[in-house]
Amino acid sequence: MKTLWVILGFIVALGLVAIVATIAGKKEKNRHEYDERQMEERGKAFRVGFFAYIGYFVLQIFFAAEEVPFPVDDVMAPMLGMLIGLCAMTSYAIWHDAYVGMSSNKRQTYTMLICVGLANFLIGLSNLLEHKAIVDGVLTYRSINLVIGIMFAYLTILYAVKNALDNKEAADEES
Amino acid sequence: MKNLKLKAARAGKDMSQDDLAKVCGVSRQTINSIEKGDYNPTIKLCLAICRALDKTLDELFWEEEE
Repeated sequence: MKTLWVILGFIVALGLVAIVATIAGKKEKNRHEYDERQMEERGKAFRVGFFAYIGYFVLQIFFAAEEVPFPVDDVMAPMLGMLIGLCAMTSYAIWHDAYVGMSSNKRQTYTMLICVGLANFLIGLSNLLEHKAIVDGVLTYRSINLVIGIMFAYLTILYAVKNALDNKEAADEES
Repeated sequence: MKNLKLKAARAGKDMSQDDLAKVCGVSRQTINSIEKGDYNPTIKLCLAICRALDKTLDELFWEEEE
């Protein structure tokens, strides 16, 4: 039964992303075209994500070695690792102007980040209020949507901050 | 090392970083990174920039020995 919920959760999340990406990006051709510097930075971003993922597993090893119970359940633990890796990779890419392709528009990216984040956050919040996300101090698999929602909120803020800094830099350069 | 020659050549042509980026088919941040010395472009991009600014490779990208 738990497996069904996990699979359903993935299907809903992927479906939402596909719908939002299709609607928001329909008019753009080559919207994921990256220049040479962006490709290089994306390579570094993947490396950062990989090492963040490895770091999470090292943390789990320390918990196990000290015989301290890991405060995440067996289903959520690997998913949390994936999210940490993805978050690290995306953060690096955003900060080094390699997340959005040259032809993509900011509105499309904001739409995707906000919609996916908000949908997951609302589902996660309902699980939190029903006391299913955290049970006896352990983060359960029902918290996945909340974690994704928080992650997307952080990435949206990071993207907005980076855009503001870029706009300021462009304005200073023009003056 | 900052590429002041590139910045000067771009200013001489009255082009913004965004204008030059569009002509060369890269992002504005890439041009900015090259000017700040944070990124070494490939020869292909160097040539595209030279063509856009009517300059030679030596004039824009040769580093004088100190």
